[in-house]
Amino acid sequence: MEASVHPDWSGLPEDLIAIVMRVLDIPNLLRASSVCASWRAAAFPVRRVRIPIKDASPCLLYSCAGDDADTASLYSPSSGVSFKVRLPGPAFRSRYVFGSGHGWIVAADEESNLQALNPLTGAQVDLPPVTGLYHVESCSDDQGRPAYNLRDDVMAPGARDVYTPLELRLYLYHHVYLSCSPSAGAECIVLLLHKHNGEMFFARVGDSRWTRISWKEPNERFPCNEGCRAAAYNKNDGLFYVLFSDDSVFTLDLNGPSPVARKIIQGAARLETSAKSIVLTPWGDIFQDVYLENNREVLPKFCLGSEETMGTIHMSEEAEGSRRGKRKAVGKAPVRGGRAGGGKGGARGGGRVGARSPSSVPASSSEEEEEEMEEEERQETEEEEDTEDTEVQQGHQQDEDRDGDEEEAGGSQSSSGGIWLRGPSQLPQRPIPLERRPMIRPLTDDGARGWKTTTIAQIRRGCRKLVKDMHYEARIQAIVDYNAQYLKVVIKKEQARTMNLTREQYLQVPAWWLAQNLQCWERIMAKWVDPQWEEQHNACRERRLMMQGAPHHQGSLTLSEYASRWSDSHGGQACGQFKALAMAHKGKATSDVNYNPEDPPEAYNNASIHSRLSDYTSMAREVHGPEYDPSMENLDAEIVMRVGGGKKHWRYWICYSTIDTAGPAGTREAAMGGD
Amino acid sequence: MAAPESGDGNNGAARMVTLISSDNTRFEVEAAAASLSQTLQLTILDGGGGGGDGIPLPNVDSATLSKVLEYCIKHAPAAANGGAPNATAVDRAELERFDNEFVNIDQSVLYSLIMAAHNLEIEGLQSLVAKKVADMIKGKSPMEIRRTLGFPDPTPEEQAEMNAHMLEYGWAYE
Repeated sequence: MEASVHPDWSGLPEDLIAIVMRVLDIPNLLRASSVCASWRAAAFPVRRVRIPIKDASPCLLYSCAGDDADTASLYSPSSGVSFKVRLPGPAFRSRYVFGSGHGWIVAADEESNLQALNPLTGAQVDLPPVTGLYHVESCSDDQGRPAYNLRDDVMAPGARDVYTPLELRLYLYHHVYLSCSPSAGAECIVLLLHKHNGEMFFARVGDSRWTRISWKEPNERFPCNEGCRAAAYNKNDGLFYVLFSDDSVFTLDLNGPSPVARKIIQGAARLETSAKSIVLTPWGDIFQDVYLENNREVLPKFCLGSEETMGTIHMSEEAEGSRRGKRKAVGKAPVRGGRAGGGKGGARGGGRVGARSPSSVPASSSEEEEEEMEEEERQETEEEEDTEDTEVQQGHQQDEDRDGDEEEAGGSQSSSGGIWLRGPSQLPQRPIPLERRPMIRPLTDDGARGWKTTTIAQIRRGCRKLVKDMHYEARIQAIVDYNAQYLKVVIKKEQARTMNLTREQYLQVPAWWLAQNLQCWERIMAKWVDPQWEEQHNACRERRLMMQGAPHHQGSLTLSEYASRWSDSHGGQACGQFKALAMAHKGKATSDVNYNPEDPPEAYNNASIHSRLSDYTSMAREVHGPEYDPSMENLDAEIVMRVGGGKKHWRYWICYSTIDTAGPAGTREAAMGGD
Repeated sequence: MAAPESGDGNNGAARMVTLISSDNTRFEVEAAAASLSQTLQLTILDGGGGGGDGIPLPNVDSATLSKVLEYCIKHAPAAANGGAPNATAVDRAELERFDNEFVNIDQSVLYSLIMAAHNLEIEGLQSLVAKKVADMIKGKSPMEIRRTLGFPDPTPEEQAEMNAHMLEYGWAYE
């Protein structure tokens, strides 16, 4: 066959190259993509599929038990691809990952030194060593093994702790954030948050030491004993946004010769939670996420937009019924810088489709790095859960004029001149308008759960209970009927509950509502003659009888009201406070109760009231003579004070609200007098 | 040039269409075979290509077209069976053997073939040739790929790009 045309493979249509490349494995694909410009261009869409590049969702980087220690597996949940990469030493499995972003991870090796590593390209950059921290020196331990000395100037000046290299990384590092891809060299600023005291350090790629961001010097004081918890880098303004444990947010400018920090959100200082994160949304908002364990207190949250146009939000949502209470704020504020790529672990390879990097984004974890993963996962799953559990009512931006007011108010609160305070740090004093309040309600009817479904479920539950009750009542009625019709005895329902009939007897007295349908009745009653049912029935009955009754029968009456009501219904007999107190723990004022000093503890609703009554009686007799009958008298505050040993927990021993607190008896002396 | 006239044998019910290559050679094939091409299928469904009209294919020369049609005729029965779900293992093995032989050809033909397959939108042929090309460049460095596929020597910029790439993806070159 003649080759009339010289084949110009570089001129192959893009989709054809793509077809070719789809067949290639990753290393071959990467090599092929560098062959020429047109191939490189064609490779991008392919790489996007093959290597989850620029995918908004993070990837999972992990070490498989079946692989050797150098090999990491990368899995992209969104595209469902997973593949293995061999990484340069030290062994991936021995590392501990402290951060990720721009397609890179930052991990500490067994010497506690940090490296930035691109799991896709295998590129690796050493960050300043751990001894580059001002307070860490290398030394050897008792056995001469390498170790590190850690000075703690903040907590205990002069003190030194010795850590093994393996321990140190867990003790020291909290999180690492990257301002851009470390392949940019000194352009890339690395922010390191410390775990044990929340200190911050930074370095540029290529530096040999970490620069400490001191607490004292910045023009605004950091909440130093609190420490920083999370940070995010905003590439639009080149600032790190650091979240402290008191919920205050500082911007950190590390571009100049010395770090400049500015407080932009006042801390609430109300609540200490360990898990917090701050996220810059692609449209330029700050999103603060606080994870609250079992805490249902409403917490104000803010987010802000750009410097000039600032939106406040009051949105918080209460995730009731979900596993844990947590809330967060979503707000909207106008965009200034367009998409500001940013994310928790660091920006996800933003718009960087550059020709040279596959820039996929592994949020990383190896087997031993669960903690890190958990945190990341938590953030994600929580977001999902929210949409599941509660419908989030989106916060609305305030009206323009109101916005202005708040900014003014914020400005006056702020003591720091020249700092743009962007919104109140607490919920506004006025109540949140009804329509802006978070609301707990089922999902809409389009969703799986809506009012309709909830109602149906509720009705179903109610119906089941009704049917059950109907059967129960039918049995009781049958017993009553049987006794009336065949034994000619009138029995009460109370008695009937303890009785039972035989099968034949039941058959004679079907419930009126299915008298026409004996088959049905037979079915229903078949259960009642089953010995197994009877056994369970009796067991349940026993259990019910053992249930505690009401603590007292005073109802909502005061003691004197109870006393007068008792008097009324008992032919005007006199009733003192003491007697009323005793009887209120026996039965209702209108019922057939009376006070008898000889009654055993069982006669009362609870045994403690009996012992208190006798304690009171004996003390009263001590004071007023052996013939004193407390039942005819009102309560004597002095005696109460003596028996109770004063007002423990600021309350009288009995009848706190009945005894006149202003009386002379309510004194310490009265209590002491008995001693 | 095996394919074109062989279609005459079993015309009967089978509808024939005429294809005209860029060098004005006429090929007559069964409509079913030609319909493997998505482009032709539409024309044929519209009633084109019948009688003496013929469908002009200005982008495909006769050598390539005959090769393409060879593939189409071989694959038409399987395609007619809806992707050959009931094809026997023997049939499939036979097709596979045919495919392997089919792409065992000169590079320039391969190139024309994939271009033709692209123009005519013959999916199977496209992926078949693509796979062959992928096999050719597998395990080779960018330079070797260029040489294999007869690229001109890289310009200095291209060379620099390749070097940079190699630095970044060093592991892919091991």
